[in-house]
Amino acid sequence: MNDILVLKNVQKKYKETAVVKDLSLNIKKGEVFALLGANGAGKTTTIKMILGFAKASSGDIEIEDGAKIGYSPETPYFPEYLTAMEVMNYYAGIEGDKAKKDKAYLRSLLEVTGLEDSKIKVKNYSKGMIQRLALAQALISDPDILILDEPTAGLDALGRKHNLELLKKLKEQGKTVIINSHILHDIEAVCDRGVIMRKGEVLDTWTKDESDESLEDKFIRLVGEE
Amino acid sequence: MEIVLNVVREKIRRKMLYITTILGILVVAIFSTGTGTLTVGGKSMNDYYVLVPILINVLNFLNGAIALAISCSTIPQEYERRTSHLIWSRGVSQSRYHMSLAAGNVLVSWISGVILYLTLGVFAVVNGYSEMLGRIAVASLFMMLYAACICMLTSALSIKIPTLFTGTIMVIILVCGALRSALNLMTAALTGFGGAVIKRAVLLIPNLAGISTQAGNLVQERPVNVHVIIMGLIVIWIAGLLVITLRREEA
Amino acid sequence: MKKAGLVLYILVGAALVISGFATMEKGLKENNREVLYKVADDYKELGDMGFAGFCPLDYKVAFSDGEKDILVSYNDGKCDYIERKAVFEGLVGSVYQDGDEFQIVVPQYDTWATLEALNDEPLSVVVWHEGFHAYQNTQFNLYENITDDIYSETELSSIIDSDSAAKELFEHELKILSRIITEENSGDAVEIAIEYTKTAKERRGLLADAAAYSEDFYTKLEGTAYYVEAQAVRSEMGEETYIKNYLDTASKYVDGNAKYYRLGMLECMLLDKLDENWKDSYSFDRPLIEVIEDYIR
Repeated sequence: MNDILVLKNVQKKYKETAVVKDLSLNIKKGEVFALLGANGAGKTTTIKMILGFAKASSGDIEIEDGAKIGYSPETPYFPEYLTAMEVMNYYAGIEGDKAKKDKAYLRSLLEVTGLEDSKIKVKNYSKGMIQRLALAQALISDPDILILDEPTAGLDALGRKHNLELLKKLKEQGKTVIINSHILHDIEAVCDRGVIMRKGEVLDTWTKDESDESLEDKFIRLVGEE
Repeated sequence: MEIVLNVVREKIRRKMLYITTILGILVVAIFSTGTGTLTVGGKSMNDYYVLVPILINVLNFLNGAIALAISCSTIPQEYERRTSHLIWSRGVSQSRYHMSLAAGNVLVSWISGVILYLTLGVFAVVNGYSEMLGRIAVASLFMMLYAACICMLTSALSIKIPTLFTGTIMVIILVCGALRSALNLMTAALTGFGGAVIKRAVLLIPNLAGISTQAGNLVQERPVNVHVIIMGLIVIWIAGLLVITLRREEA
Repeated sequence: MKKAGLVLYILVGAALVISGFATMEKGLKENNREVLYKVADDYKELGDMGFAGFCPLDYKVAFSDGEKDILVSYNDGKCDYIERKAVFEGLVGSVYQDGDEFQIVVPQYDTWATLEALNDEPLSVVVWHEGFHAYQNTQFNLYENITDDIYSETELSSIIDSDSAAKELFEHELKILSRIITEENSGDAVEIAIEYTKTAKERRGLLADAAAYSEDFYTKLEGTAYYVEAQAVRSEMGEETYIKNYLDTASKYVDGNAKYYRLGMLECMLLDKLDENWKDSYSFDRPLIEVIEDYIR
């Protein structure tokens, strides 16, 4: 498999404090990759740099030419007075691709994430429904790389199962998925590889089916050490 | 365009526009029906023909304040809520994003201003000056220029500066711009190097008073000073350039 | 596309800047020119007001912004002008001596407009007032009379305003003179003149010679110019404004030098009643009160 996203010695400093130190990653096309770590490990900062929300202090981030990125944030904000379809329509309009504004297409994306094209306004949505809407809008551009920040947070058991199934389907479609999540069980279920970070550094990598140790045990062993 | 229309939708739904527009309608109604009396230089202004340029000044200032209130928080709120994440991640450049938000602010302030001028037109007709309607309609273009100056400057400042400071600076600019003639008078008495510096600093303040004066001239069929209009457009252009070039470090 | 948009934006900016320069009023602005046309119009109605040979537009008028003057020569509707460095800094209405020539200096109309809105005093009236000073100096060398014996206006005001007895008598003088304008048929001018001069003599007895001499000078200098200015306002703004701004305030004592303006104006009005041709033989060589005394001897 080719690398679709490469980070080379990426560092991010805020004033004199390095929140990401010398990070190098090679993410292959079509894999589901996990960023793991406790709070403050540098996962969100890494995602921000990949998405261009923040500029790396040093190092390089290379994304395959022409690769489209979809992003689902952990705590998205959507205008309360809009319905799900109106939100989809809004972001499809920003994409600038008229084909993406097709109602049937947008409806299919909502259905895939378990939402309906109804008249219910976002202000009446549960946290889980907003999470699904976040995922739906991330899919509008039919992205090559999908970056998901806590994609199963706030979902009930059925919702989580639904989303995990969806992630597997997206993988089958050849999409590259990068997940930031605390729910290690979900990571083990869908991810191929990942890194475990602490204080901006990679402590160790994790590869599915290549380790005798469960992800949870490994995580606790590495991150729990002071 | 989507972002522009979204700003308009959001501002209308937040009802701020309704409240401030009602206030403006009240002002026009009070002075136009003779309930209130305006006294200028000791003279009571009861003739609507004479009153209209003064009302235009007041309405433009009021709409300028509306424009300021609307524009102050639009861009900062996008970043506070992180809606900017879903825009930046779609490859929309900061300049296009900020300019779209600023354009949305301008559009909302124009809607508010048009409502105020419609009220002015209604009362012109009620007072027997329906022949002024055409000129009042054209004078509303000056209102748009006035409001756009405030919106664009506020939007530009709000990209980098916290909302409170943006609001404070813009209130000062709005008031000084509306009282530019009085400022010219006060600074005319200043002498020396300090006086020269202050006089030039005053020149940097947008001549909002001048824009309103030209609107009044138009309504009273007096010559309009094109230079004032062009200077207003230059202010908008400079503010637009700031909107395009000022960058946030992070989304 | 993005670069093209930026280039277009810059071009629009350039076009605006060029238009800004092209539409900028340089030299003598239209609204300043209008001021002179107004003075000319007023003169058609008012003439020299009895002061032989007086015409404000005989003198060049400098419109000043404190940094630059636009010096205008008005001749039968035509305005020729030059630019020069401002002869006075700040906001000024005054007379400037350039060699043997006296010039009127007034603020630019744009600066004056706000004041005009507040106190109903058009800039053209300031031209009349300062124009009269130019006349006083050109024809009668009035400023040459300013010797060391004459206090400055500020010094004089501080002396007079701090003397309560003199202040009371001054007020009384103003009230006596105001009967010229308030009493039906203007009262008996001679009777008013007798009463006024008696009170004035009493008050002068309280003053040092230099103070009395200075008072006479300012009353003559500014009072006559104020009288001319009042007639210009009457012509331009109408009777109501003339009464409100000049006659209603004439009898009121104020601290500072404005009281000499009012006193002098009232003395001129009294003289108008005593002898409408009094100005024919007056050459600013003596105080107005002495001229009044001539008519009651």
